[in-house]
Amino acid sequence: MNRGKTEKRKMNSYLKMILLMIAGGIVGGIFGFATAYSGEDAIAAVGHVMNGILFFVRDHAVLLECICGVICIAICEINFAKMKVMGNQMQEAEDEEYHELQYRIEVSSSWGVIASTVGTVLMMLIISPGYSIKYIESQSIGETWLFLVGLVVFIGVIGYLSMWQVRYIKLLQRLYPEKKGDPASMKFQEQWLASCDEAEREEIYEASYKTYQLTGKVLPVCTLVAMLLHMVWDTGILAIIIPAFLWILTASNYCRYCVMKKSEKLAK
Amino acid sequence: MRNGLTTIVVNAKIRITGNDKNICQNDKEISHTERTTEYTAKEKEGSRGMALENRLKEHRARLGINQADMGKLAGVSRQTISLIERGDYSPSVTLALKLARICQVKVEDIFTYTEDGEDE
Repeated sequence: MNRGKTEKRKMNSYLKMILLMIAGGIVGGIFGFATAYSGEDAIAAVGHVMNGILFFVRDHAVLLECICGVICIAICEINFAKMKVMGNQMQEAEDEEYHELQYRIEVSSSWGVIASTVGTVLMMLIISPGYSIKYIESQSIGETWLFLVGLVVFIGVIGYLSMWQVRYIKLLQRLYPEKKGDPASMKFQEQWLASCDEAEREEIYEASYKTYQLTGKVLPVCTLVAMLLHMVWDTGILAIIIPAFLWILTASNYCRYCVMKKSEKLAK
Repeated sequence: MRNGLTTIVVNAKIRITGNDKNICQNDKEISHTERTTEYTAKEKEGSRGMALENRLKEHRARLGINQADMGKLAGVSRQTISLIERGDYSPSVTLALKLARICQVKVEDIFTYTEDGEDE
């Protein structure tokens, strides 16, 4: 009976997989059909819009960097100040209040970390369209100076956000003195993990596995999208190679660590 | 239920989150005359209806120490003690034994493992 159930489940899984592949084929077919019959004008129009966005970002890089930098810095500082206040309250807090404050500190710190990460990535995206020798050489002296100002803003904001992360770690170490690790060290993650107890490690491992699951879904989609975009707009092979490489790297690294853990247990 | 006693099998799954690292070698059958239902950690998956109940807060109060001191004695953070007391985290066997030693009681006086409906 159990075997029958297992076989039924197996059949369902195969059927589900086939249906998914058919659905993928239909979506791809529709996309291909739409691309072929929409004509070169439509494809070119979308390409023009994308280029327009790219040129806008490149021409207004300094302004966009300033806006992005101010927003991210404000979010980081507001949440840092909140964490400081709640951290001081936490030292005196009773059991239930402590738990509530700890949760609120976690929320604030997450907002700060997200803002600093998004800020760093956005700054790179903003500077990228103009970050080309070919482009810089084609510019007048005034425009080149403007680009240099953009670079200064870029370095300033990135430097600030990096320092914010160091301040954030130092604050956490003040709130939780048992936490160790030098934020400037390359081994910071290992040092931090070593100072965590079992409950904190479990939390970290769960969050890491969820992140691995997410990347396992996002990277194949990114690779596929990059392939489709390259087919239509000739976006370049590098755009396909990077997510494909990361996809292989995450999957193989995960397997490698699973085997390593098992072999460590076997060696005991 | 037998004669008001609840028989539980501590299959060394004091830590019920499914980590087989913490599963003991020997199964032990333990009888309890009293139960506590104040702090209950339901297994996250819930499908097997297992629960770990604990009386850590009670024992800590008896010793007259706060969460931070208990954490220091057990070698864990205050937040971990807080999570255990709230039933949000099931400690490993090692930590459970450590806590029992600090409280100078048996581990089953602090932690009680039950399956759904056992206490009904």
